[in-house]
Amino acid sequence: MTSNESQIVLFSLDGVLYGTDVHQVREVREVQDITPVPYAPFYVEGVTNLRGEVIPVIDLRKRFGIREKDKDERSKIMIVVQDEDKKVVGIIVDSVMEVMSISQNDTERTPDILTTADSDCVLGVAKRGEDLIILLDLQKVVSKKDVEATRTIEELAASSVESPMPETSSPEILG
Amino acid sequence: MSRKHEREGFSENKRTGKDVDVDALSEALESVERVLRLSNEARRASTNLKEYAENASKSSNQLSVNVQQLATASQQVSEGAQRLSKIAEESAKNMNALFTLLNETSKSSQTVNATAQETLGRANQVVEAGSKATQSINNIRDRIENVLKAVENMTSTIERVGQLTGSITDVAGQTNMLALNAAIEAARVGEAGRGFAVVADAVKNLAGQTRDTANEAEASINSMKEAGSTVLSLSQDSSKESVSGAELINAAIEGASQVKAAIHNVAKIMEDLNAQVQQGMAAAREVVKGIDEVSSVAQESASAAEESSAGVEEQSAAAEEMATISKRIMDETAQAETRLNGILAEAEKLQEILRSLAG
Repeated sequence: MTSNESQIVLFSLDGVLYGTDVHQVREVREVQDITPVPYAPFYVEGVTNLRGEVIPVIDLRKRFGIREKDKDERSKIMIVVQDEDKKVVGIIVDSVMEVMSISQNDTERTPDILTTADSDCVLGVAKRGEDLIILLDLQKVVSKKDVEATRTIEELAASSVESPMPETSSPEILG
Repeated sequence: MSRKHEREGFSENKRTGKDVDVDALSEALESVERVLRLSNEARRASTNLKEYAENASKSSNQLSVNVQQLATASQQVSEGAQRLSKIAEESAKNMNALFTLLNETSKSSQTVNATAQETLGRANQVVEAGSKATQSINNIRDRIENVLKAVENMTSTIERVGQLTGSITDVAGQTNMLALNAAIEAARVGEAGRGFAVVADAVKNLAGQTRDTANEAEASINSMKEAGSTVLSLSQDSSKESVSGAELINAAIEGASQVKAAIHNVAKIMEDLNAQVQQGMAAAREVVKGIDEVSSVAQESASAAEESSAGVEEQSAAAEEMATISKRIMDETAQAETRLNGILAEAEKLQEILRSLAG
């Protein structure tokens, strides 16, 4: 592996190929055992238990404002690492294909005209034969604010694990 | 002699008058009286004769009329006999026609009988063939049952294989996931993980191939399932059809049995008909015989009547002749009577003269 090559995890969402640096992804999991959480942001699917660690799961379709689609056996959760405190967030995508190398020569930065305040998570576009791969910074996609929001949920979920009937939640909603 | 006496007596009387022989005179008178008596008797006889002749004439006329009537009657008899003879001939012709018809009926009934026997044979063949067909259908049904069982077994086996393929696909998916995570892990450790990444890639490829193969197997299994259910429904249809075929064949056999019964009836009726026709023919023969007799009797009667007619003609001629003779007798008798009357008148005059002479 030379310095002008980087490894990305290739995944798809609504027929579009995306790539994210392999260092941002800790692992890939099946979409299962997600517990919905009340009052969470609309794009938060719920929480799941990752080997004893309760992590929030968000739906990238909802986060990107793409129309919803039923999950199938190809749908996967990518476990994305938050740099600062090693906290992780699950991100649901349509499918995860492979780990691949891309060359800097095949990568172009996002044209400035496409850049907005919210689009700084798009790093550029890589070519792979005829296909284009949109390179994402998933850590930016899962913003600090979102993480804080989900952390609150985490704490809520964690406390609910210890005491199933927290005073702040009604039993009906948690049901 | 008496006339000589009378003439002599008369002339002597006239000539002499008083010297008349009294004895001769009385003798003459007696003679005249005898003549008178005889003449009267003769006249009476003549009158009787005339009467007889008249009667005879009348009778012979009557006879003639009767004979005429007889002739007419015998003519009528002859004509009647001839008509009867003709009628008898026509009857004989009709009877012959009847004979022909009866013969034809007899032949037709025999033909019908033969046809009925043939049909009976065919009905028997139908029954036989139907029994064989029923047997075949039962065999087919048994085989279809076997096929159904085999297909059911196959289908459950396929289901199991399908479940296995599902498991393989699952395992392939999990393997793929493991390979993916291994690749991620290898990439994250950088250069050190490079060899591991190759292995992970190989595992990933194997998982992909396994998944593809499992998918192909699943597709094959699905088409096998489809084929199985098609065979199943076809076999069930065949089973149903074999049942309805068996029913049809049973109906055909029953129909053939009914045909057989009907043919037996027809044959019986034809036999009866034939027997009746034979009886009819015998009766017709009797009738023809009777007609022949009638015919010959009529002819005899006709010839007898003709003979009788000839006899009557002869009789008629005889009667006419008799009538003519009677007429002549009557005429002759009338002349004789006239003459007798003359004789009587002369005799009476003579008697008077003689009395005056004697007086």
